[in-house]
Amino acid sequence: MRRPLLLVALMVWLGCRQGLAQSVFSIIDGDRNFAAGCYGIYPDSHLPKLTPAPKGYKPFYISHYGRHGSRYLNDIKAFYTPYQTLLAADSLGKLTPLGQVALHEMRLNIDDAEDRWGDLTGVGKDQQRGIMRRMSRNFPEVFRHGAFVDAYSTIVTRCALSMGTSVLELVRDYPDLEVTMNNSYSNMWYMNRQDKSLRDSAMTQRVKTVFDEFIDKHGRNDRLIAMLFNDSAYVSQHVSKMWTAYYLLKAALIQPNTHRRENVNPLLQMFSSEDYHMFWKIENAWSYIRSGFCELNGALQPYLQCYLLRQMISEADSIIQSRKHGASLRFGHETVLLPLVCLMGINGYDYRTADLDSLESKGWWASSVCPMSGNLQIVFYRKNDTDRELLVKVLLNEKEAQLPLPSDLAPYYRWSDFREYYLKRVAEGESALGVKR
Amino acid sequence: MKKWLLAAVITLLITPLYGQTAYNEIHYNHLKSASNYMAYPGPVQQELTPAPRGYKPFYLSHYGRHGSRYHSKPSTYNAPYLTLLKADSLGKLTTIGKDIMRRLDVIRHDAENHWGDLTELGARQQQDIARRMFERFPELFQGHTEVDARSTGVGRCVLSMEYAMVELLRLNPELSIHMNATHRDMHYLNLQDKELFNLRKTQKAKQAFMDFRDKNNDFSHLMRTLFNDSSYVREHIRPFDFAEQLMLVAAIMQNVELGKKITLYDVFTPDEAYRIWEVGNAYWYIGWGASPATDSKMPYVQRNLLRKIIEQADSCIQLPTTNVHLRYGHETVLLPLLCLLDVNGFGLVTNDLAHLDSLHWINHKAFPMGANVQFVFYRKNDKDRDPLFKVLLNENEATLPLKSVSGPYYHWSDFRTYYLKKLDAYEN
Repeated sequence: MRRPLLLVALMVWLGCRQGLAQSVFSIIDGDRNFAAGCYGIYPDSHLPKLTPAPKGYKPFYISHYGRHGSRYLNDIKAFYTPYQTLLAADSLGKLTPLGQVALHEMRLNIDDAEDRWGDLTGVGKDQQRGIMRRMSRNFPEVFRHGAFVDAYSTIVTRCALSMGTSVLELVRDYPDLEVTMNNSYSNMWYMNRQDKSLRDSAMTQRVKTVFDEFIDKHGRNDRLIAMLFNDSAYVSQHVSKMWTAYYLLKAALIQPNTHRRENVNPLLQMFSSEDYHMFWKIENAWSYIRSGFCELNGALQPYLQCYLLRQMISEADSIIQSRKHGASLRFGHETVLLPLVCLMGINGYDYRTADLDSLESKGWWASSVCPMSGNLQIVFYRKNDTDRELLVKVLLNEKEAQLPLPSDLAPYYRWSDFREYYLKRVAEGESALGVKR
Repeated sequence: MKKWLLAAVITLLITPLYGQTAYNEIHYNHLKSASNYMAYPGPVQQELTPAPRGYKPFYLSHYGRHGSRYHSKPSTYNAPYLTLLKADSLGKLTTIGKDIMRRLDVIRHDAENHWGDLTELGARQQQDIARRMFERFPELFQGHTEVDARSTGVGRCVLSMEYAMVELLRLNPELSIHMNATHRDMHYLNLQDKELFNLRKTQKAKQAFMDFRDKNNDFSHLMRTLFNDSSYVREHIRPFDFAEQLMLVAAIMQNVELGKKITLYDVFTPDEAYRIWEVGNAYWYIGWGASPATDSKMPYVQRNLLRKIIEQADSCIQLPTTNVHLRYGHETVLLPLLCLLDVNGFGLVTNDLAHLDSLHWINHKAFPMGANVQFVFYRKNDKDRDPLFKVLLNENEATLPLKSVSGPYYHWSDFRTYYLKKLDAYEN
């Protein structure tokens, strides 16, 4: 009686592990967008239902950090590198018919993106509107009757426009909202903290060696390259297989963000799930090196978001004291959101390793955290405005998230536990970075 | 006979003074000497002229400057402070000089990391302008009307647009608002025309400006007020440059919250304030107006914007729906546009820099913070293809060099013909 149960449990456990290991491929096989990593479209269909708050608790404050919506590529390089390679090969008759299609597509991409590098797109604005519409409808108590919204964006235009688009959506539902919007450099110290020496330390020679080995191991481009070029001798002399393949895949995957020719994307159809899986692996490992607790570079990168987390906590403290209700909305970048999620250990993203190969099986998937419009919402609950026994829950991309703290009310956590735990983590981070307070 | 002559002489003497609007304004109120840093005064005209019988507004086309802001560079705040700091270290400041230095220190710290930021007042200006737009032309903002708003990529312009849109949406949550800020629009929202800009650097242009400036270089009162050693001043201070630097900081204070507590205007006499304004006005006239010193060409830097305004109006005239085009940018665009259009006589061509004031070429009438021009189009019904329009400059009805149909109302077809010809003549 007990033995079959144990066996079933073991099989389920093994199955889960196995399932996790295979699932990135199967997800990508079903949905190319997942391979795009940080270039992915925000997944806003099939959002799970939210768990009702414990009896008597009502939401009164939301503290948010969101990435800007879908955008054009930031610069021409990702388009121009493969375009020039294909163009040169074409002039010598070295492209296959499929290679010529790719060349034509790249020309269209470049024309479409000209003078729009980094611009927020219509797709991006729709994402932002959708997120705010659901926020205002899921937590109406936060926005009703004299609520405030203090919105902040980085100084980057797509972030300021994401902010404006979002705020408009809230005002549409609640015309009486008291709104401020800011895009001042004076907030950059926490909205998009920069630390050049920390950033440089992410990619030391040692890390680079390991990452290059990782790329060599996983970067199988031969089939893809053979599909585009008709002369292998020419390829070996003139074509960087790695970068041509990488940028073409990137170009294909960024396309759906721009809404151009909605479902027709010959580039996207050109590549196989294996190609996309390879792209995902490399992007994911790179994201981990740059934003995760990667032991190859001293596991320090997420600590740069200590400033942001401390600011979020102290703003919450003052809102709680003031008895006001409303939201602090912050609009920035994935290079902030991803390390913030790692710093907070949300859903296990504080995973530490030196083994880049383990990321996939351990579920450290950047794609799940920081697609375009990726966002974190900390929702605060209380019984009434003198209540000091507050609860919080955290939504990562609008899904209830698990925090590394004990709670008998999960996905709800006690604010006092949250505060204590994260102030401690922030202090650890600050001491690791040698920040003097 | 002699009495008559005396009366005539006196009349001649005081006439220019009466004619000098800015002179009187500045004597009455230092804030008016701030040129492009003047905060938006709001409309003087409370009641607008009703449209001719049967005409209803159906389209609005606008270009607006961002609202009140901080100075965009730390050096603007630091320059006069550092001059005073150095003089102080050598014991060359008067008590007032030390006090001004302390005030400057407070001001520059307040501005730290806010370079170019839209201020609270700037946000309010945009909301007020948008609200009045809605209230004055409610027909334009009914139901799901499309409002197309575009801004330059500069943070304060994007924010100005967003504050305005929030206000419109509050008044009608059903509006269909589109906001954009893309480099793709910069060829008309903020064209940078190096060839024309170079006209400002010619010897002719520089000389015209410097000659005028050198005639307005008496700041002995200000120097005596701040510095206790005239030989130090002679050796180390360039009076006009220093007075102008100090005035730049004085001028910006009306735009920021700290300005409610601190002013720097008290050290300037009205004449000094006017002198700085007058030189600044000449600077803007030469650099952006139809000044012969720059071959009367500078306004054409806005040729693309004017063409865009015409093209978009033409297309909206064909539509049965109501439309709104709002554009957010800079005074360096708005001013030459007004000169190109010759709105309220801003197309003035003169070599007489000393009389710009009495000729009514007064920069802050054009481009304070939040300044805007609105073209409001009227038609009888949605099949009417011969609309009328009027122009509002800073929300007051304005004149154009065209024959009016009635009061401030003009035929769009007259506008089109006149300005397309003007643009064609320049471009060919």
